[in-house]
Amino acid sequence: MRVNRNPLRRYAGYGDDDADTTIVQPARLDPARSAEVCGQCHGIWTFRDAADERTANAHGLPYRPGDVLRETRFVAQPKVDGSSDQMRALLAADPEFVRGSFWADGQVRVSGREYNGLIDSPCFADAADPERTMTCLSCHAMHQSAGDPRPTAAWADTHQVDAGREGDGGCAGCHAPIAADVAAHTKHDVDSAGSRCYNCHMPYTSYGLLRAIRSHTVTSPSVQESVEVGRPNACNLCHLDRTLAWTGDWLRAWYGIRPPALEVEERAVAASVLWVLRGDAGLRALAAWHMGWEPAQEASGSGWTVPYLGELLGDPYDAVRYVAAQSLRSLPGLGNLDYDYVAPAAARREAAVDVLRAWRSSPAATERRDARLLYARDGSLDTAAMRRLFDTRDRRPLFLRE
Amino acid sequence: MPPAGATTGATTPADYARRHLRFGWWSLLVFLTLGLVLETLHGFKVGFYLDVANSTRRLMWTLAHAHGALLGLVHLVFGLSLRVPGERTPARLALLSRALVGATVLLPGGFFLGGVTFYSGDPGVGVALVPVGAVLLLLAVLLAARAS
Ligand code: HEC
Ligand code: HEC
Ligand code: HEC
Ligand code: HEC
Ligand code: HEC
Repeated sequence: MRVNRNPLRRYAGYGDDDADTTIVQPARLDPARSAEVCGQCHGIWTFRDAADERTANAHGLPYRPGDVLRETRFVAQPKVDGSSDQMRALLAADPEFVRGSFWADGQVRVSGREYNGLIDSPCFADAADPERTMTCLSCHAMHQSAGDPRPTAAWADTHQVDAGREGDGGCAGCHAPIAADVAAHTKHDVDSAGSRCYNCHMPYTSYGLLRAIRSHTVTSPSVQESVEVGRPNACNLCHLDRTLAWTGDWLRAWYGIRPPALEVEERAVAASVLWVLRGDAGLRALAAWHMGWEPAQEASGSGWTVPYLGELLGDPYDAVRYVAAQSLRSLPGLGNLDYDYVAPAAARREAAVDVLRAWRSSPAATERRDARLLYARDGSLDTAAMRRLFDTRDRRPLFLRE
Repeated sequence: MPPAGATTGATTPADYARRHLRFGWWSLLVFLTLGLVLETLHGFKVGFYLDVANSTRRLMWTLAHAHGALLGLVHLVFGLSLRVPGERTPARLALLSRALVGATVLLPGGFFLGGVTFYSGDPGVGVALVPVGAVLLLLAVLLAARAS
């Protein structure tokens, strides 16, 4: 800011405790403006028209922190403006514009676009009181807070989440009644990973950076989202060895949520197995990542996942192969798995066969004999069933625009 | 060594020559030592000096070292020039001497203090000594130039 070239003004500022009014500090803006400061980069947007684009190319983007973002940009929000003229024009020029970044119900599914998640969250959209409106700064601290007792590396490792916000504290401040008796709400042991707010309401359903990323749209788990939208639900992302029907039954028993009608496979085969064998590339990557996620391994066991991850080592998508190999490396005895996800196909196949051969002669292979995991009673894999599901795989090309 | 800036004992050009030679050598010793200390901070990658957040301190202390050492050399040259037979002795020798000594204390001293505490990109208030020292130095150089 030009006025701060004056040294007298700067040093006068150091002498008092008042904030410098020439610098926009997102924490002092109202919630919508504050979130937009982050949303200018962490959001999916386009120019409103060709004239805007030309102006920006000649003079830079007109948005300045504190401005209303939508006055100078079109922020894509398919849940709200899916059928607007602007969106129709965009889709005519770029038919994959929505599918490449959003789930079928309009929820954002790629990394780095958390603002689109926030504006679709009830904690932002349905909030009336600014004090109880969620912004990025409800959880994140862009500079480590003065009172944060953790080493700087710990703050950075949590993706700059503020002290006390890494766990249920991210929600407790605004949802005190639920946080006061966590187990009553979550039906899990208080200390269980199944009692963490984030794990049910901000599960890892976004994709980017070769891994699963926490969704920043606050939602509640439902079987419906998995059946109608194709998005994995939080329960089955941890309970990988359970069917959608199982989740539907518990959601009804615990929360009174009516389960949707399910197909035969959705009742008989574990959800993650369906996602690995039948799902599109995005689903396969998410399922593969969760097979390496510690809380899911604890809740669902892991030995039985090896043939599924092994299958994904031969996936046509580089990213899926990479994620599958990383998850295999998290399993006992596979830490040093020698597999190059961009090696020639023959070498990759050989590595996958080696993994399976070693696994067959290990105790992990006989850990589970559940029909829903496609194991027969004698512990062998039901490869015919696997093949049947594989043949119905969603093979439409998918390019996620992270 | 007479106290810095004291003029009571010095009256003849020879006295001034002695004073500036002494002052020059001692300031060289002080500011070369500072250089060695800074070097050590580099050697051990000490964050207090090298972290990006402390770049103002690094700049200020580098400047203190450089100005102090170079001004030490100026004292030596000035002292020697007073001893060269046949050289003109500057008019207002007492003022010139005081200004030069003052500059050598205030310039590097101001830089050093400016790096002890600072406000992110701006040095601490001690840096206000620097312009005062700079004016004294200009005065000294002007007087010396007129005599040359
Ligand atoms: C000028 C563009 C820009 C703005 C404004 C911006 N970000 Fe970012 N942010 C980025 C980019 C680019 C990255 C990825 C950097 C990288 O490669 O690690 C990032 C990364 C992050 C990360 C991840 C860090 C990690 O360790 O994984 C967080 C959290 C984050 N930003 C939060 C915010 C918040 C909160 C705001 C608003 C206060 C904000 N950002 C504003 C561009 C921006
Ligand atoms: C800054 C305050 C704030 C924070 C932080 C916050 N919420 Fe909310 N949340 C709200 C507000 C306001 C609403 C709107 C309904 C209301 O007033 O309770 C809401 C609504 C919700 C709803 C939907 C309620 C309904 O009836 O549809 C869920 C679910 C929810 N929040 C979960 C969470 C979870 C989980 C977290 C932590 C990850 C969280 N919230 C963090 C303020 C917040
Ligand atoms: C309710 C709390 C909460 C809010 C609000 C929130 N975040 Fe986050 N964010 C988190 C948590 C927790 C993580 C770390 C997830 C993990 O552990 O993998 C995270 C991670 C991130 C990451 C890194 C993702 C990755 O895995 O690389 C980015 C970038 C980010 N947030 C940006 C934002 C932006 C921008 C906003 C506002 C639009 C925002 N967040 C709002 C809780 C929140
Ligand atoms: C982040 C992991 C995680 C998530 C998410 C999670 N759970 Fe759990 N769940 C566990 C763990 C671990 C246990 C083991 C017992 C315990 O710790 O309470 C468990 C136990 C259970 C049990 C009893 C034991 C069993 O296997 O029959 C049921 C039922 C259950 N969860 C249902 C659900 C439902 C329904 C959801 C979604 C609303 C859900 N869980 C979400 C981790 C999770
Ligand atoms: C095991 C999964 C699970 C965990 C963990 C969980 N929730 Fe929920 N939560 C749900 C489900 C399912 C619903 C939807 C209930 C409905 O639709 O009636 C819900 C609904 C909510 C709602 C809106 C409805 C209401 O009851 O007010 C809020 C707010 C909420 N959760 C906050 C939290 C907070 C805060 C935490 C952490 C302390 C948390 N939840 C942890 C599963 C979970």
